Amino acid sequence: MDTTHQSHLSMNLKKVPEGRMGLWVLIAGELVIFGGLIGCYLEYRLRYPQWSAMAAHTSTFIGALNTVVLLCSSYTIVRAHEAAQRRDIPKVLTWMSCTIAGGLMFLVDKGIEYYREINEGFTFTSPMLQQAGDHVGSLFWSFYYIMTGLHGTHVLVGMIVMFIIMMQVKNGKNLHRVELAGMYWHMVDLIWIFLFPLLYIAK
Amino acid sequence: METINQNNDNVIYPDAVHEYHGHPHYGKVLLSLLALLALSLVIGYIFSPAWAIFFIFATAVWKTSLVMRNFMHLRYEPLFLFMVIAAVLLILFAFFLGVYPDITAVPRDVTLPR
Repeated sequence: MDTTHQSHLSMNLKKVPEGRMGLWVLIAGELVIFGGLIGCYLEYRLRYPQWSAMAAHTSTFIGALNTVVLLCSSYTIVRAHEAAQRRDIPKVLTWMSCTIAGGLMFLVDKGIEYYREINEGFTFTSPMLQQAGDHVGSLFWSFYYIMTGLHGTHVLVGMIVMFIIMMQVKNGKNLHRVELAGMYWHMVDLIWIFLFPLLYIAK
Repeated sequence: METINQNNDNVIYPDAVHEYHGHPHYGKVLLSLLALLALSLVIGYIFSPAWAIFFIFATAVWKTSLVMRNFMHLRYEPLFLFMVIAAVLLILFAFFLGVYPDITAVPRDVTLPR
């Protein structure tokens, strides 16, 4: 048996902690949900070039700001994981608090953006566009609210889970769960990495 | 595939987990991600829409690779997990191809029933 084959074999036999294994399965499922939505969006976008006029109403500044916030919060949670491996509980709590603050900032930004868009008449069904006969334009906003709303829900769930884990870590328990919460948070970040160019840059 | 039970509260951080993977330089990864974000914003203003979408997606794939390999430590995982992710992407591609005729066959001036 050559060394490359041996190396692949040992990679396959390497023990995977059950929490990580479970999280990877969850991530695979989430990829299918969001991947399906993104795939459909792309096809409609290619079919209807007028969607670019609708995308022009989204705020690139807020979208970019939210991307920076999520990328930085991914960094803070991975630092929390690093601190958890050193069993440095105060640092874990500090980094996790920063991550939750990042999530909160993301949701506040998103709320401001929704407020602006709804005030302009762009809602889930956009009656204003429907009355003008622009059903295709209305469809863009349906996709927009489903994709960003579902993503925002995942951010909120991540924050709640992280808070629960923080309480456990505070009592010196379940430090390994910091990494699992981090993996979930990175997945939320990954989804946004694709939503941002689709909805905010490609105009 | 073997798994490690992490549910025992008395064993808060088993050695097997402690040594499961290493840590790359996270600061450098974050800087790379922010640089790619800036690049994708600039691309939108430089290229024509079709090319801009292509390059912006290429940077998004690059960012995804950086996050998965470094922040999610996929680079330390066994080949089996790569195959799970690859299978999911394959299913998505099949879905994309399957739905494509349904979407493209609809007339462009589609109107909904009142």
